[in-house]
Amino acid sequence: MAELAGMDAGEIFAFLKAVMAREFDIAPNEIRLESNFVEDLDMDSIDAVDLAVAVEEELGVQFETDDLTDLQAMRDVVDLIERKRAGMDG
Amino acid sequence: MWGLRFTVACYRAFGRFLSLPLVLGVVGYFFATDRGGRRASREYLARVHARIAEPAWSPGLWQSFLHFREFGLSIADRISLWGGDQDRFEFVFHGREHFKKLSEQGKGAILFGAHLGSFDALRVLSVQDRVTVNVLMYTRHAPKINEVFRKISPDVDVRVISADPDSARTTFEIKACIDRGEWVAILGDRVEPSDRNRVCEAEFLGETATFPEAPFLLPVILGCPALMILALRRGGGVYEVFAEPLGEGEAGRAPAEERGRRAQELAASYAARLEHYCCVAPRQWFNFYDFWARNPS
Repeated sequence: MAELAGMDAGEIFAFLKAVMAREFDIAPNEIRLESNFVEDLDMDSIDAVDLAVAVEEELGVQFETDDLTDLQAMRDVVDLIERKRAGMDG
Repeated sequence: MWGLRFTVACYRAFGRFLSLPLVLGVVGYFFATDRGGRRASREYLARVHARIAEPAWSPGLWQSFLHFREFGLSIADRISLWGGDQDRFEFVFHGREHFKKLSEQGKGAILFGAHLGSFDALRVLSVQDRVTVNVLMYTRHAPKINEVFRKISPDVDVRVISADPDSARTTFEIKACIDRGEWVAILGDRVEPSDRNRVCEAEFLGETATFPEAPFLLPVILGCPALMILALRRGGGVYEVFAEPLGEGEAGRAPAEERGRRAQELAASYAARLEHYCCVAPRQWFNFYDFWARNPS
């Protein structure tokens, strides 16, 4: 399990790129912060839940349905994980 | 929504005595006007008969009518159940221990049903095993349907989840249900328009058929057990419920490179068991379209 506590936004993004390369075979250099999951990365709802489960398992966080449904782009996921980290720190 | 309320109100006002002929009349109308449905029914009946017995047999209109009629009887039973007349029915379980084990462990699971027999055994499971059962339906009216169900049967904890093709919310809701230790029931034998980008193929009644892939990926991704549950109508208000584990059971979350293969295996086992139960109750499979078409529409 990766250690979320010490991660900044850049490290979270790098972690996500590594997860997506492994889980969905997407080249890390194709993933940008502004990449849209559907339009740029060709992901669907099954991929989205797959990514959520992978992140939960590897970072030890728990997402709620409302956390996840409005996510459109990579930046939204990085922001969400940062909020989760802040919650853990607080 | 008014249709569901109207149907339940009619049943409560007039009882099964009048509801049954009404439903059979509607089904008779569809039999008379739906040529594609009749053709699909006859093709399916011929395939299932070829599995059960030799020689090959070409079912006529009468056999197809009996198939449609069985659909009407099934709907009439559903209306009775929704109308609060549960005591008319007896559900005899085979494989109940699989659900008991899950509920004792508080484990979430995906339950695979089919358009075969009735899916209403889930109501009995919900009450007797005191678990929440969520049913995935292709409707935009889930909140209102849930409200009607709660009013009719406050002791039954069966909830409807709307399958929204334009949002990932549905799959996140399913994940949340599994995380809470609830059961999510999905009908695995129909490719809906939103499933078109994710399908898999499996042998079913003598030929390769297309099944939706997403339902079979869910247990593989979420690492939860998958079970099959079907309730076959036996007459006299008796339903036989068959429940069994599907695939490798509690195999856990699959690594990325194995997910496609595991989902495909799950779909193949589902199709094989569905075929078996279609042979047990040939007239109770209610997919009145060309199921073996390469591009289902």
